[in-house]
Amino acid sequence: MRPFATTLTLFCLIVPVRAQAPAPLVIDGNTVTVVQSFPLTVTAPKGSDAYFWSYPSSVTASEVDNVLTVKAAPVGKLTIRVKMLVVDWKAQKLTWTQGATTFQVGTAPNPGPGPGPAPVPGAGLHVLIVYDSAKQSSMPAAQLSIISSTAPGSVRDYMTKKCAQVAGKADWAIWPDGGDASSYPSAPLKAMYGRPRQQLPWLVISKDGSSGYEGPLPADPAATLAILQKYGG
Amino acid sequence: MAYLHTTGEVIIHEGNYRQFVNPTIDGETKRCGTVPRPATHPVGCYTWAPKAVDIPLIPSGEYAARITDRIAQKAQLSDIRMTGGPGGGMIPSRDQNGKGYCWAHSGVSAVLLWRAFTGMPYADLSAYSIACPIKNFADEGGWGAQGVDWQVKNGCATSATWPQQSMSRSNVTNAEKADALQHVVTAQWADLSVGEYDRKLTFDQLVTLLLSDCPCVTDFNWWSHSVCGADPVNGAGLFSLTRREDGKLATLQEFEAIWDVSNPVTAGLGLRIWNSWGDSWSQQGMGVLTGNKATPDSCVGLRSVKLAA
Repeated sequence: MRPFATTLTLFCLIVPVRAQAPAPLVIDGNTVTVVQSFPLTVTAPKGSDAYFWSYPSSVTASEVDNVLTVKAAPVGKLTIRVKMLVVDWKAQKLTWTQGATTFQVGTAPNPGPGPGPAPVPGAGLHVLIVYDSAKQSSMPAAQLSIISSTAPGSVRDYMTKKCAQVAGKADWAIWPDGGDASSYPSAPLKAMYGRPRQQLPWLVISKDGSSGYEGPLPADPAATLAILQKYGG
Repeated sequence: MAYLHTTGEVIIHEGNYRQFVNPTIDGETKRCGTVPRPATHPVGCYTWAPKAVDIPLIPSGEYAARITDRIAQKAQLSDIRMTGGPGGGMIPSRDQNGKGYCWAHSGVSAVLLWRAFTGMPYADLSAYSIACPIKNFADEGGWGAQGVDWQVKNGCATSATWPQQSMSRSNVTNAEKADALQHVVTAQWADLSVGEYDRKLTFDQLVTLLLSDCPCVTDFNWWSHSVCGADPVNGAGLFSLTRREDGKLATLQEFEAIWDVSNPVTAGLGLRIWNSWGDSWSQQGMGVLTGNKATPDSCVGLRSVKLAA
């Protein structure tokens, strides 16, 4: 009992002191930087003689030396690269260095398929994709191919083969936000369309009225199929 | 004549367009049917510069890559047409049956493509249910935007309540009107600040819409015809696939003329259209316009349609 009593006494004598500055914590794991609004700046180390920035054509940005100001970018993963040139005139030598940063625009990428918050009644698989018709032409090409490709193995092909038959057709739809579906012949799709959406485009899946998924439409067909296959096999 | 070797579609260009104006095919005269410029719209009153329609444009530098990708992915509206018909098959072409009702059929074809894109079931829409009431059952020309505006207010009946190509006044019933209201156009990409005859989109706006799965209603003065715009076609990349009527590959000079590759507006891009002369015309009712012949004199895009059976 004596060692324990001594330790207890020591703890009682220690007076807690609030730290003046937060201690730096390091996160070591699978993390992502999420950009929620624009503009944002990406700053390269100073000291180079020239900076050559590169980014996708869908990004609106302006650059002044080592600072790139991004004014607009589509939702999704974005990588910005820079090549920096240092000229040593005396030695007549050019030294190139380069850097890159990747971040997520919009909301954090979906962690993957998981149990949905609210599947709707209806046997079998039902899938709804909702998009913003005003921004349809702004969708990245890869994301647009999710909703338009009819090739074998495409998302449309998968949904046609796997979804439940309702009113004579496979029960999937790709609808613009804000439409009137009140007289559409599929109750599951109407119920899914009536659910709240945090953003567009949006994916809703319901399986057998017992499980489901809803979340942002992934960036490409492969990621979308991975989620669909979780429920539709 | 020239045609695309891969698809068998006719290519209508500066050198051959005359043979496609009201042609006689298999003994039947295929009518066009946009009206000549009416008295209320005299020469010069057309607004040549389209007013702003706030479509976010796809950069023209991406056209070629996007078209190539859409072909590979079978993601063109012409591909979607092949899956949106009865039983998941091809949507049949509309057939105006020799009447000057192209302007009503072009909008209906656009709605059919849009419905197929969104996964809605096939509806056998009858364009005569639009044209007949507007023209008091007379065989008269019109304008594409005129037909679309009717669809905004009144919709379009299916053949269940208005048989295809029927001009009977007895088709107008309460049941037919209720049927039509299930197929109203709820939003369009159009300059609504001007009259129907003046609604234009730039060629870049047209290409952007088609690359975004929005079918368009396109009117052509040279053809006196209204057709549904379906896909942009990258003619500049089709040198080895462009053939003459005799089946031989076009020479470089012929190729450049067919696709009008130096055209300052289209720059070698063509426009795949879906005609309303039945499936027997060209390749399953679809053909390609190039150069000045591909630049519509009036154009509106389909943005949304009521979500219904």
